[in-house]
Amino acid sequence: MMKDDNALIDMTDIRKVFYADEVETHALAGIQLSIAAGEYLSISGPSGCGKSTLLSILGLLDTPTDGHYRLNGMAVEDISASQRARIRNQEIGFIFQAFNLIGDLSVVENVELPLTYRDGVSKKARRESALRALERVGMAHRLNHFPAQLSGGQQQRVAVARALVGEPAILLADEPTGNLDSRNGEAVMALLAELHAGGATICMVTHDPRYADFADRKIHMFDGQIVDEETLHKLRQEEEQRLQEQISQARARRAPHADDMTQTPSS
Amino acid sequence: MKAAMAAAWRTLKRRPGICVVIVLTLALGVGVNAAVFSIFHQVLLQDLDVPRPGELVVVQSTGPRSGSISISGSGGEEQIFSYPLYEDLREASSHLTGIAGFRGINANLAAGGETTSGSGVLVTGDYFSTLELRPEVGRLFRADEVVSAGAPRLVVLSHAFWQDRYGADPGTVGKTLVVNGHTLEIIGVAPAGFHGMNPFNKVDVFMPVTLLDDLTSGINWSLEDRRSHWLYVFGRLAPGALIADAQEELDPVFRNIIRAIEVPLQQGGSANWMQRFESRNLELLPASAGQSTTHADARMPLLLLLAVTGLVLLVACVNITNLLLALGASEQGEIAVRQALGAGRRHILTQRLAVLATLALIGAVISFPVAIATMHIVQGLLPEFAAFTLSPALDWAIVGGGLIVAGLAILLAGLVPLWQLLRSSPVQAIREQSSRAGSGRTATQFRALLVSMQIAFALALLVVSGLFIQSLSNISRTDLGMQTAPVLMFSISPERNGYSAERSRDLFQTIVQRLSTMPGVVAASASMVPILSDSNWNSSVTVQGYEAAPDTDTTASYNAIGPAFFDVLSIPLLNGRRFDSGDINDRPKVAIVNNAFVRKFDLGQAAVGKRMGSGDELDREIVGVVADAAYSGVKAEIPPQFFIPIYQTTTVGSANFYVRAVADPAGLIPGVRSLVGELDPNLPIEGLVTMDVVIEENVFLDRMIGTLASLFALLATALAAVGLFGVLTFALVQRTGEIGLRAALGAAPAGLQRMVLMQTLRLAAIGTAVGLVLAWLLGRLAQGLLFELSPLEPLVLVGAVVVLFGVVVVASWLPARRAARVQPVQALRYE
Repeated sequence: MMKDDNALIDMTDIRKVFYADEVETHALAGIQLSIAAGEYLSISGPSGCGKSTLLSILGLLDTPTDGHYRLNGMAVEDISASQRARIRNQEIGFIFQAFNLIGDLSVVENVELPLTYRDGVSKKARRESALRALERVGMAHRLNHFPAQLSGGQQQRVAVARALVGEPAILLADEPTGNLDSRNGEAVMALLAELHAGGATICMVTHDPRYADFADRKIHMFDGQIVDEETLHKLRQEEEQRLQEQISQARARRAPHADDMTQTPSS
Repeated sequence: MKAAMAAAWRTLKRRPGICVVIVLTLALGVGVNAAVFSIFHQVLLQDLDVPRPGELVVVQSTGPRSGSISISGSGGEEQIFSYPLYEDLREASSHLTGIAGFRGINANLAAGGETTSGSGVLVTGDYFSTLELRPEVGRLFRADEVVSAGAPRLVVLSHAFWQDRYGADPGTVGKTLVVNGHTLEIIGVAPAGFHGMNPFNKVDVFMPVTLLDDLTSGINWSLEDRRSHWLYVFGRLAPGALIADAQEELDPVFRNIIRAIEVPLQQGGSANWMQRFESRNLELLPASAGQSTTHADARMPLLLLLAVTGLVLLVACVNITNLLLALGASEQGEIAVRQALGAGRRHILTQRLAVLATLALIGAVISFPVAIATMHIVQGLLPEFAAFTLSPALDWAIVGGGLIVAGLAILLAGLVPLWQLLRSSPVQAIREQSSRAGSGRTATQFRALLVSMQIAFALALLVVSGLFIQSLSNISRTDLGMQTAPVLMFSISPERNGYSAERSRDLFQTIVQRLSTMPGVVAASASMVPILSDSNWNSSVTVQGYEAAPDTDTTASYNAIGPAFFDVLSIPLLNGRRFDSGDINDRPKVAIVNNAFVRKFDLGQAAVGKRMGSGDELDREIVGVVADAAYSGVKAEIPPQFFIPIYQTTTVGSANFYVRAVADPAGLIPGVRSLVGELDPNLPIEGLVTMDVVIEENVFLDRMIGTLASLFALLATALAAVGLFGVLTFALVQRTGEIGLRAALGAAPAGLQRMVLMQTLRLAAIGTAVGLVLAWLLGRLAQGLLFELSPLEPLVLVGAVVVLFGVVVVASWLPARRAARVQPVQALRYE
């Protein structure tokens, strides 16, 4: 992958290893990734391929085991927890599959939340920004409702408003349609597309190819690595072949029993 | 049911930690309540051990009396009568099967070459028949034999005395016992469990009231004088009779006696006084629990202790509710699976109730030793004379109370968790919760409410304990007007060993002289009235130059004292002189007065040289004025006092000695014992203790309530701290996702820590506001028990709030730190 010095996100040889009960799991194995400002990128791949781990590192929710990561020109792999929190707050907007709204807070309070962690933002300014964000997602009429009073689609719209309210450099969306029916899923994708058209940088994880097509650029992951479409196709074929062989072997093991049954004389 | 119990047992085994905490919390809360309830029952509710105690009534009459009035712990002035009046009433009511009288006295009891000091009761002939008691052995007094003064010379032993002194030997009957120097024949033993009408006075012997003059030398009680009030009177209602009927019948008789016989005997009273005297009426009050001022004195402290332990139980209940919520949350998955497999609500409810019942039962059983330990603590705080009334044993009050309270507490604590469990949807529970939306706004508010409640209860208890500690501190700082350390005190009563007044006086002089020359002794003296021991001897006085207006109180407290009394107790002489060895019987009568006396009788600077007397005669010259010093009690206001020389009186048969030591006065105890033993080996020494102990016993109620309130407040605060920690930890687990989300949205670790702390402090502030109101209510209840202190003492209130906030911060620090360390990526369950 070409290195772009003006990239909003620049990852070099990012690795992530999980250790559990003396078992090493290489969730990411040398990721090279660059995302330009204004780009709409989708990351797809099978379950367990490492796409959510990658998104966590992209969003500074997690740290890589190895490698270099620059966000908006700043090296962020070794900064303190407080600095990471500040950058998350100012540079990144999150949209989660499970919406992750806080049930105790009203719609507008949920949207205001990122701004409450930002110094120097008055209560009035917070409220105005939240209202603007809710208007952008068409939820301004439900601002005093609580999440439990909203449908899944509406909750995700509120979550998008919360992601937008701090005017981040990039929106990170993790399976934003995963908990929605197709109608609401399409509506959310349309909203993201609209935001992108307005200049937003978006990085979305999805395993649904229909939604991946909304992005300008699609990347695929397999076993912790980014692969091109041709390699992905090949790897999937190999995987399917292995699966077919296992099925055949399993059927072959069951066959003698069937023979026994037919050979049993009737009395 | 069996299956439910088995499932319950599996639940307990699966969560041993949480269940152990629930059981221990329950046992502590229930145990202290069962103990205090048992004490409450033993002191205030327990009936006398006599047949049908509900039929017993106390006779009382409110209003003025003239002449001598002598009361004891069996009742106040309204319950004291003259012997002739008792005789008038005895046959007056058909609604009463009997009316009897009694009066406790101190008794030296000599038998088998050993003399001990004990407690006796003078009883009328119908005492035992009115109580319908049957003797353990021998017989009891008959009404027809207690008639003439000086006879019969008989004594009935209490069961406990018979056991202790005679080893419960049935052959004791017929033997003799020397009581206060008079030989009496033992005719029987009272039944076990009966200690007299006053359950707080452990009686050793019962004697006929007609032996009054023989057994009580030096006390001006009389069998003939209607102005000598000293007898307590009670009766028994006839079967089916009502108190109102008996009172209606007896009251006119009483009024007639007052008008026809007693009014003409009264002299010197104002018209107003006479009117009040004439309008006296008679009342009958239920007396199933006996006759004692302790019932009234102990009611408020015990109610306060019940309120305090009730709050401890509430704190425990709140804790248990939290723990059950946590237990329920951890079991929700399993229950959902059971529901999905077809278990109905009844099945789930039965299983959960089985869990609660098992916890309650185990908690109740563990609460029994807690209760007994608590009662031992209470007993340890009581002086010897009060400790015998409590029996720290496993009685029905503890067992029954423990089981009931544990059951109610666990039911109260389990209601909300039970309701929450039953209303949960199996589908929701089985599925991983897909959204934080609606994740328990009500539950969060409920937990917050629980935390605030705990804080409120704990604060109220801290305030109450703080008030008592401050009150005790005020008591300890009270200026008694004397130096009580290092002083030893003891009493002897030679008159009860048959000494004449002259012989007693000689003995007192000898003891004082020999004490004064003992190594390690600075000075020694004696007094007739023991100081700081709740003894009050008052007399109306006439003072030269003081004109008393009608109905003016002219009483002053008095004491007969030895020459060095003021030196031993370091009471400053302000004017004139002290008593000396020349102030004896045949010398001019003299008196020393205190400053309060000077003020009351307007003596100014010219007190010394004035004459005074108790009665109308100005027979004493005031020769000195001393500074005000405490008389009967540490907390009592210093009364006007006058002192007379102890060797100038002829009626002092008992004396109290004070020995100022060079160093530790307790070191003098063996020397004092051998000194008195050398002079008369049969003379019992009473109350040989340091003055510090005398003072401690004088304020034992304050010390007991202060100590217990502090212990219970500490327990409640510890439970609240554990509860708060548990709630916050539980809430943190519940809120991990939310906190992770906040972290993801940019909340810094320090900010998250601050957020948790601030949320807790907000709850603490709400709890504090409610707690202060509760504390005010409890403080008002305790007001009568506080010494020179308002229930709204700012220092105490601020101190309690500071302590509580300290505890809150400590208890929430760890959960707050954990919140700060929540990894957003884990919290949001990405991988």
